[in-house]
Amino acid sequence: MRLAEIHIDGFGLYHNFTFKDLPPGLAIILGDNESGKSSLLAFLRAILFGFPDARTNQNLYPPLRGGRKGGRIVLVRSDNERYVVERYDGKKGGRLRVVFPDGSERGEDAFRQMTGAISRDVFQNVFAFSLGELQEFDSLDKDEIRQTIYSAGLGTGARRISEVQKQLAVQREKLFLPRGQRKINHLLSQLDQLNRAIRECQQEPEKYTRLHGELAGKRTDLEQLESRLRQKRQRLERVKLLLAGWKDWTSLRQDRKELEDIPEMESFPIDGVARLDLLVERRRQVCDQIEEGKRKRGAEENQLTSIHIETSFLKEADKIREIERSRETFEKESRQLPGIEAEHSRAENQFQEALYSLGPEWTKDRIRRFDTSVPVREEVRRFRDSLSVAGDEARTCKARIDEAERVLKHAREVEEDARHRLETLPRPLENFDEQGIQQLQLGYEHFQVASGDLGTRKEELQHEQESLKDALRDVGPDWNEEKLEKFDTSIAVKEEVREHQAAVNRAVRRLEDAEKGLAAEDNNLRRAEKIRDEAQKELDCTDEPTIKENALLEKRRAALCLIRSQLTQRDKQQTRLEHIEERQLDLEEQSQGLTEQANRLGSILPLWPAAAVLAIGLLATIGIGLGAFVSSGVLAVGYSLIRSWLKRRQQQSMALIEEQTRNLKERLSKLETSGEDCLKALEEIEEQIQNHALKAQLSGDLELPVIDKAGEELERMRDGLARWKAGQEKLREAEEAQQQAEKALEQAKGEINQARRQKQIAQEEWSQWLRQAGLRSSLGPEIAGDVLAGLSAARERLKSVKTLRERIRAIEKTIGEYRENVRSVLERLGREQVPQEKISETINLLVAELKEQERRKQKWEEVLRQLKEAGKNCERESKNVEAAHQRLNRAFQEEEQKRQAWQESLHRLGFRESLSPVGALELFERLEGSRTKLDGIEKLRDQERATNRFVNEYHQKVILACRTLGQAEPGQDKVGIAVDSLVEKLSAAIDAQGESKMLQQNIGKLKEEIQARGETLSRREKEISDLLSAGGASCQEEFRRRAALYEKHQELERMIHEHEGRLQNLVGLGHTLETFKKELASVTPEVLNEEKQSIEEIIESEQQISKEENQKVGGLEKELGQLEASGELSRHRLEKEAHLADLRAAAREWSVLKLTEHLITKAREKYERERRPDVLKDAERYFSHFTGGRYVEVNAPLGETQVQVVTSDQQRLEIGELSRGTAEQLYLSLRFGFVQEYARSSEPLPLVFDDILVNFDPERARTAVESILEFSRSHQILLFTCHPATVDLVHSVDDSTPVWRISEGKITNKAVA
Amino acid sequence: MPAFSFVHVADIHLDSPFVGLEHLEEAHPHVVETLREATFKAFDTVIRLCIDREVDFLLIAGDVYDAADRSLRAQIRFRDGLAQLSEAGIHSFVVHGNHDPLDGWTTALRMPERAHVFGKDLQSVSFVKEGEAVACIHGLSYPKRDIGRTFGRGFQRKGSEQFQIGLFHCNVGGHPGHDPYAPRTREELVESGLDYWALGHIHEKLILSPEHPFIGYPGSTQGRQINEDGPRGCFLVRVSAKGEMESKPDFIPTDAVRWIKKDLDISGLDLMDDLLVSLEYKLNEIQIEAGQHPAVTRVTLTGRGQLHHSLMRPQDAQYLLSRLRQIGREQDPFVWVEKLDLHTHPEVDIDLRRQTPDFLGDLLRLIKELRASPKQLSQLQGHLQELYGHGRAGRLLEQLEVEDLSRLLDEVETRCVDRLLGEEE
Repeated sequence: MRLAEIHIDGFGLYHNFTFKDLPPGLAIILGDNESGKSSLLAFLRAILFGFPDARTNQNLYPPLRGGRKGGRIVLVRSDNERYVVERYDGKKGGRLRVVFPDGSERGEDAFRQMTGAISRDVFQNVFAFSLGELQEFDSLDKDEIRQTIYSAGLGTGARRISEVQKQLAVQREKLFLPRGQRKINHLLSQLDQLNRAIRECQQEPEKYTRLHGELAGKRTDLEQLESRLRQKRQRLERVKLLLAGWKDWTSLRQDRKELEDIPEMESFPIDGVARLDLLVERRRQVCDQIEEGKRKRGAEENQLTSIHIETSFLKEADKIREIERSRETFEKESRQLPGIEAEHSRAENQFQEALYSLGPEWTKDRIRRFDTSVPVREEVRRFRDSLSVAGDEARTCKARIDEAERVLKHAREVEEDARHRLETLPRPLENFDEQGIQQLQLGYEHFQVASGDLGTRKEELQHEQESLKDALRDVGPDWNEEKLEKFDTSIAVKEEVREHQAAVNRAVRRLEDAEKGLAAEDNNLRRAEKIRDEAQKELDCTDEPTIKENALLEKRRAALCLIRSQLTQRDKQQTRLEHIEERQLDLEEQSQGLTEQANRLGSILPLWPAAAVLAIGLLATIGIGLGAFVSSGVLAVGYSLIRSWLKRRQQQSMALIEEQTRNLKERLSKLETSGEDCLKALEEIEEQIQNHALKAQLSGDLELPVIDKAGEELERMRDGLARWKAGQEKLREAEEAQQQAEKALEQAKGEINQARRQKQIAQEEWSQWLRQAGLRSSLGPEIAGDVLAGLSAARERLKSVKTLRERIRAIEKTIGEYRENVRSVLERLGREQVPQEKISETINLLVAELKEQERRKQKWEEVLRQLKEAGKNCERESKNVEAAHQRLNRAFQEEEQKRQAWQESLHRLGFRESLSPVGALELFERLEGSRTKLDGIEKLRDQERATNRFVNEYHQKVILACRTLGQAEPGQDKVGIAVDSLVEKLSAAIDAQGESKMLQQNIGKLKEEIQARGETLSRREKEISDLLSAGGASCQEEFRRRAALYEKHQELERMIHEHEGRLQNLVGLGHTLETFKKELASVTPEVLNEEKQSIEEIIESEQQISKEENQKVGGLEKELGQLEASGELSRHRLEKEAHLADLRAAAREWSVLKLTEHLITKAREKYERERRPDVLKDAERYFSHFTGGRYVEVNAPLGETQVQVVTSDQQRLEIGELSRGTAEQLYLSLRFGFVQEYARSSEPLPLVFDDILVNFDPERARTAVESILEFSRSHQILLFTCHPATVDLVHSVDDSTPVWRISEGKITNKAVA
Repeated sequence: MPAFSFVHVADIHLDSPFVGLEHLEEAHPHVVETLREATFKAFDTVIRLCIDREVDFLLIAGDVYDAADRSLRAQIRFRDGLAQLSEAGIHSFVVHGNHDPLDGWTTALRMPERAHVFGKDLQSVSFVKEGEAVACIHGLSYPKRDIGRTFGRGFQRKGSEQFQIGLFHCNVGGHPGHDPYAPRTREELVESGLDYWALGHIHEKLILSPEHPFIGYPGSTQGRQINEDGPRGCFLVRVSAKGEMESKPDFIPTDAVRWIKKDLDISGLDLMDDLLVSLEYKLNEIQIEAGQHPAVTRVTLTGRGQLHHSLMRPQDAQYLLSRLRQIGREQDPFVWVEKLDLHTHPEVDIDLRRQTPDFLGDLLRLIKELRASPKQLSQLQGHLQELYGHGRAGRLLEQLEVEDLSRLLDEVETRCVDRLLGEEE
């Protein structure tokens, strides 16, 4: 993308500035200091990224020479599409407007998308920068450099990335560390605790069930206990009853006994003694009362005689009361009288004053008669209003006349002014071809673009044509456009080529496969032969066995086995035979022993019995002293007895020995038979051994070692045979394999021949196709594709050549038409025709003239319009003045008429002629006031008269009363005292009369009382005597004695009744008292007390138990209730869920942080691996070139704060160690690196450098210029400078670089090369 | 035959806690207590409803409580509720479901006189009114949590006169989001010839067949998480003297606390104060929507706008939430803001930013590639093993699925843009 045009409406020095035809590649803009270079740079930045805000410290470049701040630029993309970018200062830096090639208008977003979302900072620091920006790095610390310079590639600061990573890690670790105390760890601990608590709570149901069981058991126990307690309590109650009844029971028995001793009395007056006492007392009281009455009567009579009554006052009582009642009124009236008189005279005076103010013609009578009714007043009011309206109208009319006259005057002035201006204005030209010039103006831009475009298009066409020629030359010498156009490159043809290609390829592949197969088979055969040779060699090394059949060897092995077993049998038989022989010898010895024993028994008897008999005889003779005779006889008998016993024993032994001997002989004969059998078996075994030995081909002494040795020999023979046989088998197999390999080799050879044939066919077919297609027959199918592709490309190129030709024709037509237009317009205007190069100038001139003409026309018309309007105004205002005068006259007439009517009215009312309606109304008000005052005076006069009359009448009444009662007659001023005296005396007479009456009544009453008491006394006497006779007594003493006896009787009966009653109460209604009594009769209090005590003890102890049990039940119930109502589990669970929610949220946050960290790291690795090296490599290349190879490497690991360079001798240097110039060269290199990196993915943007080579030494400046020129092939570069030397330097490398000279915000010299 | 009426409830889940309430410790004790008691209060409302409307019986289609929770209080409150009905002469019919199977833990509580609990074998019970059997209820309870696919086959009409009800805890039509216990198709239920299918298990109100036979889930009586928002309740059904349902069942809300979701777009709001005012207005809306109920709400902030950056600062977001909670608490009845879900985006055009050839562009492209590849996504799990593979935490946190990781990546993307383009903190 390049800048094609800059138009500045207003910006700093610039006003209405246009910079056109900016070329691609490098262009120099030369200008002295303050010539407007920096402003131009600032304008470019502003138009792309908005005008800086007034709040920033940046230079705002106000438009010093007028115009609206802003302008537009034209950008041309590599596809030659033009975009007009426009921005004027406004809110948020001003609104950006882009006109797309299709004429559509879009905003900021579309522009950003077009320029690869480049930011202001990147543009300012990388694309359009001045020496200031370049040097700024030098004064900043290294970190800042990185942040600024790398922001281009990172889209954000490198430092920011490291910091973000650190922040993320810190935040993540705040949430969780595997062995830390962080938020998640804390939550996990809390959850553990909660889980434990929940598990504990979950044990509650078991506890509940257990407690329920316990509770049921306890309740059953308690019921039983309660039942026992109830029984005990019932018994205790009974015992208590018995104890309680015991006292009554004993008293009852005693009372009954006492009652029996008292004589029976049928009746006696109730309360006899008391009644007697009462009667005696009453009699005494009556006597006392009679005495008292008599004394009182005497005293009253004395008092009565001492009282005196004034009767005359009593007769006049009514009159006196009447006087007393009116007294208060009299006093009040007397007091008011002077006040009323004074008020009366004041009212009279006021009225006289009012009358005077009305005028001498007014009297009381006239006032009374005069009509002040509402209609009369209303009439006066109407006069007042109409007169006032008429006056107002006249005043208004006067004011209007003044205003109309003023406006008229103004209008006339305006008209005069307009006329004057019209005379001085230049008149617009006539016969000016405005429409033609407008059309020229409209078409001009298009014409200019077309003119600019024509050159480019022609160059393009030439380039395309050359390319096409090259392409055709590649295809073949006889190829031209015509042939190319005719050549079929359709898909079907391509398909055919592909098929041929595939066929040839297939054949070639088959041949290759077959050759490979042949080689493989050859290898196989050689391998098989080798194997066979080896097998033969192996067989040769193996001895040929004597026995070649396994069966024979097996037979010999079986015989050997049998011999081994027969030998074992033989050994066994021999051992047995030896054993038999030993047994025979033993038996023979036994038999011999028995024979000897038998011989010994047959010859002697033993002598020991005789010796024993003798010894016993001797002992008996000596010891007992038996007679010798007796002794010898006994001995003889003893001896003979022993002897016969011995004889019998001897015979028995002989028989036994014989028996044994017989047995031995039998056993001997059996042994002999066995020995013979044994010998026979031995012989048979020997025979068999010999037979087997024959089979086993053995001879000689056949013992086990011999057999073993023969066995081993046999084994060796077997192995040998097996080896030999295996060798033979292997040899056979190897021979077979060899034969197969030979066959396969034959087949592979056949296959090769076939494949060769096929290949030949495919190639022939291909050559034929080529010939038909008009292509060189030597073309290989693999190249044919390329040729076809080349032909396709060439055709594409041909197409574009044609398009370009079309386009050039169209452009030329446009230009021609435009020129024709110019010519005809000039002709119409009568101007000279101009050459083509002056068309632009002419158009500008014409446009300027057109504008001037339009301006003149507009102004002329405007003033003419104003003049007309002023004339109209004057006319209108004159009419207004006239109308106002007429209206004023009408108003005066009307007012006069109304005044006359009023005069008549005054006359009719009898008012003075000079009176105005307002005055008349006021007079009405005063007349009303006077009339009211007159009424007041009359009222006061009446009041005064009435008061005087009342006072005199009252005084007369008092005098008359005093005269009647003989009292002194009072004057008018003493009336009050006289009245007081009369009233007082009347009261005294009334009091005396009352008292006398009362005393007389009292005396009468006392006489009657005394008489009545006397009667009562005699009645009392009678009552006493009646009572005595009723009690069967003649005197009071006897009566009292009899009363005591009767009372005692009654008391005992009452007591008995009470006891019975209490006992019944104890037993209760419905229970038999008799049973209770019987029970009482059967026990004693001691027994009962004992029982009571024991029951109480039992109850107490059981109650204690019950209480304890009840407490336990209560405890259990409470515990169950608590378990039922316990919300702890749900509280814990809710808390757990809440914690889990917190945990999940925290885990999510942790995961987001962790993944963000991970992905940033990954992206960073990718960036470092894939993107950054390109930036640095490019930078390295430029830096190395700038410095003539002094520096070879630029390193800047991401995230580290160091930028390092490496010299050609591998010395590492940091920026701080570089000279200012070298550092600037490094920064420039890095910028080039980034610009290239940027261009890899986006449309290349133009670059603007403002005097950046100042600090470069001549050599490096030259290399830098070389690099800049190289760079300018891909990017448009505007190089601003104030040093002509820089221009020379550039021209020394490339003298075609265009140079513009700029001064005072204007281009003064255009494209000096 | 006399007319009658009944109430159909399911999934009471007595004493089951509310799920997903973050930072509950900030809530006023009154709020916490209300949330904790909500399932009980909802059940009380059901009982009150039965008594006030003088219905004849109550049907409970399983999952009265979670046996695994071993909540004594839940069982006792349940028993007490049925006892209240029994005293008022109202019968109750109960089946147990997968959460409270017969072999699950139960306390030896004696059920009241008029309560019938179905056993593990299919049983049919008649309901008699004024001496006449008016309804026949068929039901069975889960013997254990995991039952075979054939469990509960064999529901069949008995007799022709009575109104026939199937009381069953099952998943009809493979409703997603619920375990496929006793899977049935709608057709199977229709074929059984019953008049009313009183179902339980699905927590949403769901009517599978509005006409004869009526097949429906009343849903749970109280929502317990943000996905169970809106009114929750039971069906009140009236059956005429002809043995037909008088109209569609009335759905009557019973929930004590209502869950409500709201969205708010921040675009066009310039200041935090503006946002707060908008949110306050939202809270009023929520309160009006909740009627007489206290509400638990989740407000999701969406859209692009200036405020996004402020919201990304934890302290600002926390302040906003605290302030909202304070406002919600002062309302009567209260509104508890369970969560402020932030799904806002910066004003930056991320798609455009992704195209730029710079570091951030690289990073955003990397994220996009990851999101498109489930294999690479699942490899990200390896980087989270420090936490998710950690002994205690791993047991408590569900492993992340590919969809979770993809959602996390959305947030990561926003964070990257915020961090790398945002102001220095």
